[in-house]
Amino acid sequence: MSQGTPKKRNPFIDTSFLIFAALALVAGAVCYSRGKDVFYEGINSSLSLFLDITPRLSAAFLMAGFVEVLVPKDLITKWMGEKSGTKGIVIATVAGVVTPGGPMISFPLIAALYRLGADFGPLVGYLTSWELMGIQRIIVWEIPFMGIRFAVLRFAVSLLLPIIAAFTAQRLVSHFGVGSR
Amino acid sequence: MDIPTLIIWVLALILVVVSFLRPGKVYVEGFRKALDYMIIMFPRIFMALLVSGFFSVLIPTDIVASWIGKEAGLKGILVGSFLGGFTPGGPLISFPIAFVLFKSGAGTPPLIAFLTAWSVFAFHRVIAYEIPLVGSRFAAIRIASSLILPPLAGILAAILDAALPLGV
Repeated sequence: MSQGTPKKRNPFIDTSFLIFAALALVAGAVCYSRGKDVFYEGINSSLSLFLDITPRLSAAFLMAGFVEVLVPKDLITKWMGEKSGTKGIVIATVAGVVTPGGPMISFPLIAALYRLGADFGPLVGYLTSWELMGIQRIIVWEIPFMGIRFAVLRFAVSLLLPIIAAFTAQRLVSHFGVGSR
Repeated sequence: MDIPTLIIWVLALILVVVSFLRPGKVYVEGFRKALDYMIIMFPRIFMALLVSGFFSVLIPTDIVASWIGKEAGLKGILVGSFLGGFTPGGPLISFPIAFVLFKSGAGTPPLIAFLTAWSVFAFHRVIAYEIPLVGSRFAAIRIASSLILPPLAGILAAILDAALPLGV
């Protein structure tokens, strides 16, 4: 269900699969009750979507696997840990874009930096950037589903957002304090 | 083969080649992870697409168009932001939803607001990862700092969309 590294799960059936199967059954039944042609139209649109997306997703998953083994995670930690202030925020934004994998990779990294005393600003910038512009999610999910034009447009409008969030977070912290870590 | 597919395949193959050039057996690990992804994800994606296919014939397009269509303007962007903020789950849920809405007449700016809100507020991630690992204070400050991002993304997208008719 998440885009995280899949591990120790039944490869075929788990909760998210069952939820989707149940939803498909209900939606299919509703379609069928509206008439056979409505049902077939639904099946048709699913299948054409699946045929459209499978070649893209296969390549995307291939990429995802290789990005994960090629990007050195300790390098990202080093970048983020040493710098703070405006420079730290800009570096954090770039680091967020290139961090591969799902929340199982980015959050432990954030937690480690947090305990080491990293500023809120860069941490918020990093998380926001990873959430909005993480290159792996764009390649694996956004381009196959929404197309390149949509992905480029969304990436472009997202460029400043992590920096806005990071500076806002720094102002909030200077007002309210960081609390205990 | 269409252009997006071609681009992703080329990028994937470049990475495979790079990992072959690396010392050690990096490529074995890469193939293993890729295979893991495919085995885990394809059955789920098939089901998700089945759901979205049925929904695409059930959802009344005039309602979608009037709430988050191209002509919905700022209202559409706000509605998109709101919907995204309350969409649970990972990309396997949000992207098929965005796709079906797109097919049913939703405009690009509201959908960008939708995906932005889902990305920054994703409460399954906040609950499962952020609060346990970095604490609720951090989560609260981060979320407060991100409140304006989805509408801002939508508005910027509307401006850029009109100014640059990218033909990709």
